[in-house]
Amino acid sequence: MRYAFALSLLVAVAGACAPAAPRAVELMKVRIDALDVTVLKGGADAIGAWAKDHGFRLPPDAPEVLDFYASRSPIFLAAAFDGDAAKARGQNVGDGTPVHITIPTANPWVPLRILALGKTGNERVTADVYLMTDHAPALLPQPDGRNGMALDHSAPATTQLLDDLRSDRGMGWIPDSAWLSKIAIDASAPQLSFDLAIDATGAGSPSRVAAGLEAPGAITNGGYDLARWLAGLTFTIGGIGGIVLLLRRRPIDMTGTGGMRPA
Amino acid sequence: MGATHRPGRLALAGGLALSLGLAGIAAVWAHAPGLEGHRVDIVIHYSHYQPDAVTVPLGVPVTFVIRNDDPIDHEWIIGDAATHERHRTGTEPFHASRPTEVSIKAGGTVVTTVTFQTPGQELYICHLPGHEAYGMVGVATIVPGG
Repeated sequence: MRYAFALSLLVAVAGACAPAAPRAVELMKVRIDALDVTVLKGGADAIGAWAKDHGFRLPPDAPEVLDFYASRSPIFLAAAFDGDAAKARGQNVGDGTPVHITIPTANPWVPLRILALGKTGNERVTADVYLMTDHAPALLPQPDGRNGMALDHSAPATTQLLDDLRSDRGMGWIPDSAWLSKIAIDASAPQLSFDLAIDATGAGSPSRVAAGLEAPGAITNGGYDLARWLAGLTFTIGGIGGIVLLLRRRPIDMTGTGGMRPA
Repeated sequence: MGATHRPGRLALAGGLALSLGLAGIAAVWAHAPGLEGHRVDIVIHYSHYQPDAVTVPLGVPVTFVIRNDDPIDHEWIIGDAATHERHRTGTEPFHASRPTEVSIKAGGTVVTTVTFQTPGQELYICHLPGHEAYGMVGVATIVPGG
């Protein structure tokens, strides 16, 4: 291969031809064990720039996934693992860090698509999602075993489980009765192109927008109401929960006699 | 006597002539080979090149305007199989010294001009980790008679 560079014009104008992306706003920073957790507000470009500036290596599917979530909520959560801190704490490979976030919202929303971030082709995503709701929830997509999700458990929570959960620090809010669902995720990365929308009110109409099956309506610039905030923060809960579930080495028994030990 | 009182008209005529002259120069410049004539615009969106196939002329400068719409950095490296094999295991974090190897920062645009000397096909690929496997590959077909 030969090239003649008679006109070897090479003008790097990175950033000069495009308006600077608005910067992400850091709403909260907290250290949990060896995790540095930051709650952010911003669009896809701003979040991407923030991540790059803070040492995150975003995989090639990140731009599309960031847009997928940014179109639904301006709230993101970033968690950075501090290996030195984990070592100092005596943590071993595979140890998870339970993170407990409480948000009042009628209908939670579990981000599944982000679990496939950075995975390609036939790579698998496995996770267990536990839901505790007032009523039997309506789910979208419905776990049918063919879409990478299976409903492994759906029944009233046992009194023993509820008592056990209630005995943990900060868990006094656990009600006397609840419905327990377990959704097992075992999907190829491309299969997880959606989130899990939940209608826990008993109305039976989970949101297609929350599931990522339908584009949201226009979001006004700078305008985000309480519902959108809650939806975004729900995303963060689900994200951390998913990561924790993925990292846990031993299975958790939530369906039986109180094997669960939340933080 | 009337002619001596027309400085405004002279200025107007001069300005008009100057404008026409500049317009003519601009027109010639815009049609110069390698600029407007052999310009290829490539947009990077969701870690894919658009278009992912271009046809370029042999032996004349071709200007590539590569715009990165993504919030992450990318590369555009064009060359033969040996070039790409070298970059798959390379460690150079940023490319700016060769027209055939450029890095494009998030939201940025890079303009580079290449003159191809061998007919055939060459691939343009982003060799950042995982990007090629994700599909960040395009092909340039180099044809005689540009």
